[in-house]
Amino acid sequence: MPMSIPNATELMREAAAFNTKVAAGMQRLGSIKDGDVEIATTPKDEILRTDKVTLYRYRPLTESQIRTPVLIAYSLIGRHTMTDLQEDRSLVRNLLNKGVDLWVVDWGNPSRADRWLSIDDYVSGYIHDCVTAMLDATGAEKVNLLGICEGGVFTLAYAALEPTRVNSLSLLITPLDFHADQNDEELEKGFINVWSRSLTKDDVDRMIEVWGVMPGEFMGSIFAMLTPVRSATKYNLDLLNVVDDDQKFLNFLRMEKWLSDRPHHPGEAAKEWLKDLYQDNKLINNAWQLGGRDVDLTRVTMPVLNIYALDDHIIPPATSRVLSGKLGTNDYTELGLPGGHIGLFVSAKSQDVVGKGIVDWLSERDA
Amino acid sequence: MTSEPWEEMTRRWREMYQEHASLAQKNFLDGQAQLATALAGGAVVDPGELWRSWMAFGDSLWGSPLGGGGDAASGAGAIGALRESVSLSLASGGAVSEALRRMAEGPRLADVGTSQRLIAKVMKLWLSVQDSARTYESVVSGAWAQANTRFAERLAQRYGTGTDIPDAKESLKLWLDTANQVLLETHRSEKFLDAQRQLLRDGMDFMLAEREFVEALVEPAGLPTRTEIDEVHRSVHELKRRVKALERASAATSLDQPSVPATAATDRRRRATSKGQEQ
Repeated sequence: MPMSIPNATELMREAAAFNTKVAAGMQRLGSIKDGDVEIATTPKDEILRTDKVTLYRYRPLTESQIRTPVLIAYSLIGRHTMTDLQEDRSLVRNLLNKGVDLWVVDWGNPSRADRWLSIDDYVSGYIHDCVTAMLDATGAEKVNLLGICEGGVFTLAYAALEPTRVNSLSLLITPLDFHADQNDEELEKGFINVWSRSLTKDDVDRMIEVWGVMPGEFMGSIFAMLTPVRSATKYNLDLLNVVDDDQKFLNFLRMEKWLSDRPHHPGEAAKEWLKDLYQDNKLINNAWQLGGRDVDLTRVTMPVLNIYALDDHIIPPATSRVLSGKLGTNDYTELGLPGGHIGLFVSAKSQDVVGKGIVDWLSERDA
Repeated sequence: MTSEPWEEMTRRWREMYQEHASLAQKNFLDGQAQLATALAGGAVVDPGELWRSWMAFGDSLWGSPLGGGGDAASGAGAIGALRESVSLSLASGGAVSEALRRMAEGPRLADVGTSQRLIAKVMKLWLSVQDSARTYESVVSGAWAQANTRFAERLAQRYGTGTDIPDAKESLKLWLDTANQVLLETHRSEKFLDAQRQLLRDGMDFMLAEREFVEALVEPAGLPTRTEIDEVHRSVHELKRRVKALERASAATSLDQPSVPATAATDRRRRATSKGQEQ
């Protein structure tokens, strides 16, 4: 069949429009300064600083509705600022607007000097210190923990080790059964699981011996492989699509700002994360130990809410929805929400869903 | 190679060193002559040539007698020959790699040739990185070629039926979807994972050997090494752990016995709390 001949006038018109858009975009990009792209702007106060870790308490935006304070613990891969990306896309603001006494732990910027920090240092050390500070400051007897991704694993471990200090546990997009990705045939999901299992323990040890940390840039390159074409077209096609819409363009830049702020993962903790969990899957099999103590899931006796994202390609849903029957509580709720690993926090349509889901659940279990 | 690998190794290194040093000196002196002419207002100097002469001078500082000599310095000078060795290796089908392997694995004498042996090891591992990088790149470029083929097949199918001819925008989407699918399949393939793992391993081995070499150079000068600093960090970390454990134990005791003075830990918590209230 003969190919249709392009209409020359139409082609020229399209080319001119395209060039105009590129020129306008370049001009706009050149006019924006780093200070114009702010993230994590919700006011908060520093309460505790220990080593490079800082505990903040957000200032209330409305009257208190949930008495028990809530601590957000994000992953060491990425930063908690994702939960407060911008004013109209902020889990933090959504929770504050519903009367939650909200706290967040910032892990800081680990360097090679922090090579020897283990997961136990984070769980039994820093999280424990944060919880103590919260109890001291509020007079509460227990706290609510809200762990995100790797932070979900940390808070789950803390809840198992110190159940008397935890009123409830909310897990968001948290990997729990690190081998359950094998039950999911979707190619887009679970590459990190496949990649981690392709390495030997010696490979992991050597990486940490060389770098001392798991470099943020290295993890960024692994994440880029999860969406290979998207990663390749982000700064040309995607950027061009939004460059003439100021609001979308700034949203794009805020996300870029968050993405570029990828801290290094302390070495020993990275070894445990990859070997004990991704490779040996010790957590869900109740075989994990921290600081010589068993992380026994049956000791998690408080109410647990487990939220996962249905389109999560980093933490496949199959690896999250696995706690039923494994915990020492019958008050266990699993909630699959539309969206991806990051979209769950920043997409416009998830704004009313996630925060409300958490607060509704918490309010029924407030001490 | 002769039956005396040690002798062979030292001979080769000597030749490489002499060749490199004399070339570097010649380049440098030529460049200086040009520079002198230029500064005197004579002939127009070629900036490129001048730059190259300065680069050669930089290398010669490591390796030539102008740089001071000694085992460490002459060993470091061979690093300058590394790039040339790589291209030589690519052209000679692994003959240089084989020679380096023999050098690196030659007999070890207690006090002789340590730096040369380490350099040979570093070079051998660098060549391994080049090899594994080429293998990795061939797997990735194979994926892009497959994406092209699959895209062409899909377009041909559409043209063949004549019912669904995509416009430019749709064609772009089809190409991106096709490429994405092929790349995802590739990333999960044994071939890709093996190639990536090998590249990672060779890269790590190279960097560890490089560190070993650098440490062998700086240690005699009394400079701290990466290994020593890691050890110091480990000691500090262990001490911090012990202090925190003591603080906690002390805080727990003080809670049981209210008359006991407040501990550092509870003091810290109080300070932290009041700090938060002030803000």
